[in-house]
Parts: sequence; C-alpha cells; structure tokens
Amino acid sequence: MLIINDLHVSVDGKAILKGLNITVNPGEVHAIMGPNGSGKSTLANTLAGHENYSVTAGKMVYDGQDLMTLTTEQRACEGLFIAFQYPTEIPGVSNIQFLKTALNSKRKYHQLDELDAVDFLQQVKAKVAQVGMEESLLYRAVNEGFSGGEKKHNEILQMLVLEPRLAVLDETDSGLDIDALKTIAEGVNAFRDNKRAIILVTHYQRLLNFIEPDFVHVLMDGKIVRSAGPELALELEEKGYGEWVA
Amino acid sequence: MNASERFCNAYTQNRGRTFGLPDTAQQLGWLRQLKDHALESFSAQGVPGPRVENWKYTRLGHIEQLDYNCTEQHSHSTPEIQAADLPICPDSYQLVFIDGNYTPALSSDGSLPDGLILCSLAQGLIQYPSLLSSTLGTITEYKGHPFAALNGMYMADGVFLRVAKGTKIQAPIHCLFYSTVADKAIMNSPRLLLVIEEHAEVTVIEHYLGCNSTVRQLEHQGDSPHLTNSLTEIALGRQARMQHYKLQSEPMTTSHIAGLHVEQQRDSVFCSHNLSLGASLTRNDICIKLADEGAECHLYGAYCIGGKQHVDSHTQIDHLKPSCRSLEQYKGVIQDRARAVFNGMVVVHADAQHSDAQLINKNLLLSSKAEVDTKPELQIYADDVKCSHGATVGQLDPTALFYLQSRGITSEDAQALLITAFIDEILLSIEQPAVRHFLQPSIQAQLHRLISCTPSSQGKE
Repeated sequence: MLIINDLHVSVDGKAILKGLNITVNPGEVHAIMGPNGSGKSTLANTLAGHENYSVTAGKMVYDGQDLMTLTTEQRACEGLFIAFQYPTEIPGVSNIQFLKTALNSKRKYHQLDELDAVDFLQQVKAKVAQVGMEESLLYRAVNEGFSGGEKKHNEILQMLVLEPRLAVLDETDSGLDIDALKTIAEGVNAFRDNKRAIILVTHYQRLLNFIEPDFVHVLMDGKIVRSAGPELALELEEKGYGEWVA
Repeated sequence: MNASERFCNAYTQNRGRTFGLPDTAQQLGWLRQLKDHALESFSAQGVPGPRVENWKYTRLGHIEQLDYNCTEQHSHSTPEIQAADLPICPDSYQLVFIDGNYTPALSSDGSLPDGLILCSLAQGLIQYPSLLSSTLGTITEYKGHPFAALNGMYMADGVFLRVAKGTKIQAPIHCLFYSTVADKAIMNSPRLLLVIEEHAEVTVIEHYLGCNSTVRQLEHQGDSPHLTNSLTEIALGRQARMQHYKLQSEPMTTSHIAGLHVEQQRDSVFCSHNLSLGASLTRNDICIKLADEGAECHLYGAYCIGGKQHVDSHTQIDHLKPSCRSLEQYKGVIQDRARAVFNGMVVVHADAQHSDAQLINKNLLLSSKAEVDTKPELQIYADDVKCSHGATVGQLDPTALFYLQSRGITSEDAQALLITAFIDEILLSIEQPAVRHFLQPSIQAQLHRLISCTPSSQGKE
C-alpha cells in the first residue's frame, strides 16, 4: 500500500529525513519508534503534504501513485489519514459540521451523493461512544478549549468517521493517562482489518501493549536503522536507543 | 458651481414645487421650515472634503463631480415588477418602494393590528400631520452630519411607523427600497421615522436592493451614478424594545449613504444588525443617544466586500445618564482591493456613572491589497464605569486551513468554512429565526463570491 524509498526531507533548509525506507502492506500495523528529533513528526507531516516540509529526494508511492502528484486534500480523499500530534483549534466551526463537510468532500471526490443527515448523525454518535468521548463535544468548536487528551480522542474519532485505508497516528499516546490510552487503543483495534494499514509513530512502548504491532522500526537521525517484530519494542524499553546513537 | 452649491441651488429653485409629496402636503408650513433648516445646515457644511476628520478615509470625488437629479419622478416609467421577483421576509408587513416611489401594489394591503400605524411618509403627512410634526426631524442632529441635512432638504417619501403604548408587534416590518435605474445620476432620499412608544415592541427590516444587484459585482466597476442618501430616525419610549435589521445589497452603480439616529428613553432596548454587502461606496453614520437610565443598545455589523468596494462605518453612542449599557460588535471580510473604514466612538458623559460599554471591531483580510482603517474611541467623563474597546486585523489561519485540507476538504471549501465561521458570530446573535433565515442567504452568497476570487483560486497574486 505504501512504499517509501530513500526519502530525504528538509524543514527550513535543515535536513531531517535522510534516506528513510519503509514498506507497509494492507492489514499491517507498523510502529515507528525513535528518540526526540529523530524525524517522527516530519514523516507524518510530509505524508500529509504540509508545505513547510520539502522533499529533496526519494519517493513516496501510495497505491501505485506518487504522493507528490497529489495535494493534501487529494491524499486524504484517497484514504490517507494523519492523526496529528498537536491538533489545531478551529473556533466557530463545530466538530459535527467539520466531520460532515470532510465526509461529504470525500464522497464528492469519489462522485458519490452527499450523506443523509439523519444517517450521518446516528453513525457519528455511535463512533463518539466507541472512542469514549462525550457527545456534547460534537457541538463544540473543533478542538477549542479541549484538553490534550480530548484532542487526541477527537483525532481518533475523525479516523473512525472518515474510514481511511492508511492511518498514521503521530504520537497519539503522548499526554494520555492509562484509561484514555485504553479507550483510544480500543478504537484503533476495532478499526484494524485486512484491507487497512496503520502506522503508529511513538516515543514510548506503552501504547504497543494495547495495540500490538506486526512490525517495529527504529527511526534514528532521519533513517530507519532497524526493523523487526513486536519483540523489538520490549528490547527498546529495556535498553533504550543508546545502541544507535552515533 | 461645486457640488454643495448645486444641491443648494436645486433646492432653492424647486422650493415651490412638489418634492414628490402630494400637493396638499405643500400647505404644511412646519415641513417647509424643517426643510429650510436642513438647507441652512447643509450649506454651512457642504459635501465633506478631505480635511473633515470624520471623512478622512472616504473620498467623495465621484459624488462631487456628478450633477444629480434629486427630484425626478420615475413613477411613469416604472418597469413591471412582480411581487415574486422581490425577496420579502415571510409573514411580514411589507412596504415596497420602487426607485423611491411607494408602490401599493407590491406592499401589504391587509388590515393592521390595533396600535400600529404603518404607512408611507407621504400618506402619514396627510393622515397624521400632528404626529409627524411633533417628531419628524427632532432626533437627528444635522451638525457634523451634512448628508443627514441633505436628506432633510430632499426627502420625498419613506416610512412612517408608530407603535402605540404597550403594543407588541410579532410580525416583522419589511421596508424594501428597490432601484431599477442605474445609468443616470439620480439621488434618492428615503426617510424613515419610527416611533415606538412606552412598553411597545417591534421588528423592522430596512432593505436596499437593485435589479442588477445579482450581476457579478466584483468585476470592473465603472461609474456609480446612483446615490441613495437615506435617513432613519428612531424614538424608543420607556421600556420599549426594537430589533432593527439593515440589509444593504445595492448594485455597484450605487453609492449608499445612510444615517441612523436613535434616541432611547429609560430601560429601552435597541438591537441593530447592519449588513453591508453591496454598493461601490457605503457610508453608515449611526448615532445612538442613551438618554435615560437603564437604556441598552446592541449594535452588530458585518461588511463583506471585494473588488474596489469601500465601506465606511461611523458609529457614536452617547451614554448620557447612569447605568446604561452598550455593546457593539462589527466584523469585516475584505477581499481584492476593497477598503473598509471603522470608527466606533463611545462617549460616557459626566453624569453617566455605572455605564457599561463594550466595543469591538474584527477584520479579516483575504488579499494583500485589501485594506482596513479601524479606530475605536472611548471618551470617558465619569469615573465609575466599565468600558472596553478593541480592534483586530488578521488573515485566515494557515494552520487551520491545512488541518481542514488534511481531512479532504478542498482549499476553497476550507476558506469558506473559516470565513463563514468568522461572520457567523454576527448572524447567530439574530434572535428571530425567521429573520435570520431571511438574511443568511444574502451574506452567504456574497461570501461565496468573495471566496471564489481568492488569489490562490485564481492562480496568481
């Protein structure tokens, strides 16, 4: 589904990703772990197509398409979803309005009719419950006044509503207590199936106790330096990243 | 002759003739006196030039150059307009004016509830001369308001509304001023006199529209030969309540200058929403006198402009007595090379202890050539008051835009969402759902026009 080959990315002229390689197939859950500054969020933002992140070399191929030929909104409509580490607040736009507009934009892209309002509301309410959020948050402005945990829940809610094929969760676990972590993990696990793929970008091993990955990669200084199965996460927990520090 | 001289000269020459009023009205000496007084004031002030502080940012060059016909009667050549062509608020009492002429065929003809007088000003002068002579012109101060004086000289028709003590009118009153003429230098001077007695309640919509208003407005604007110079006077009695809505969607061929002068008695509440969407040049002068304790006014405004439109909103709220409250919130969306001017003045007089005055103006610039000059002003002469004022000028948040796009929303839709959210705050404060549903499409249509002109969607700066 996703093949990243020798990806080099710079931000403000500074090279962050220096030849990253990874292949993700449908049905797989990949965890990318690394210390601060290794480039984890850069990968997520580059996949999203943020204009501050310049691809200086390499390729990202999603379902046979070069991602660089698609705009941010096109990538989303093609089934790519990024749960951001620091979700933006949007005063004046309610969550429900936002979700409906996003879903209808995607449907329009695929030349489908807009959703029936009643169906949509029912579906969304069910997913709100699934992700452990309060229904009242739907009518508040997107992320406005939300706690860190509520913002992360909101990202997962969007994922469940938009039903992407490849979801990249950027440090979704940071700042969450154990209970919040469990509900988020439940939401993500319920979302897993053999057609979808998930990339978990994380600093800590703890999330991986709840969402068991198929593959674990270590990202150091802009490159994947080691890949293995889930047991690698436990190894990192014990030994830390020291082995790869230059 | 300069413009001021032309206006005065035309008045003097035509003084004996009908100014669109029925011949019988010419017998009303008090009316002639009122008009002469207006002439005096106007000729002392003239059309404001660049040195007049309150007109500093609003050039009137094209108005000064044109030789306006102020008195032409259009009634004989009024085109066939069907009621269905006109946007009217449902379940309202309507008064429709075509090119300044009251048009009974398109207006409400049903019986009015007890306590409500609603008629054209011309009719009012015949049927209720004493009511009018005691109120018309008593609220407006011409000093510092030359265009109000000009309206006083040339007013030919308009609306007379009187709601008697204790009468609460549920259905809104929709006054529609519709223009068909676009290519001649004509000045229309609509005059509205709204008297709301003690404990009475009413909702009024003041609506200005032209038959070519829906034509793509933001393209090249040629001459704007048409001038609307309107003046609305409102007297609110003790504990009276009024919801006032002004929707201005005049064509690009029009300059729209409007005065709104309000005097409020004890514990009265005045709430006004002023929506400026059309005209090549707009100037709103709003003067509120909180003349007795406990009076409250809420002024909301939204201006959404593009092309080379110019909107100037000047407001002044006088807290004359203690414990009055004023809340003013104006928001603007400015695109292309359009320009907005905002000057909100609040004066808290020495007697007005425990005044509460809040004033805020927020502007969203959509292009690098859009410009806004904003100046909130507070003059405070009492010492135990609560006052605040603020102004912001900003652009769309690029982080918010990116976030919306990352969820599959197109760039244009994302901008629309954010811009609409910005202006919605003004619309959400409209209490009556029927009125809100009536006004919303005009704003949404204008915002839609402005958004599809965004440089990024055109591919060039």
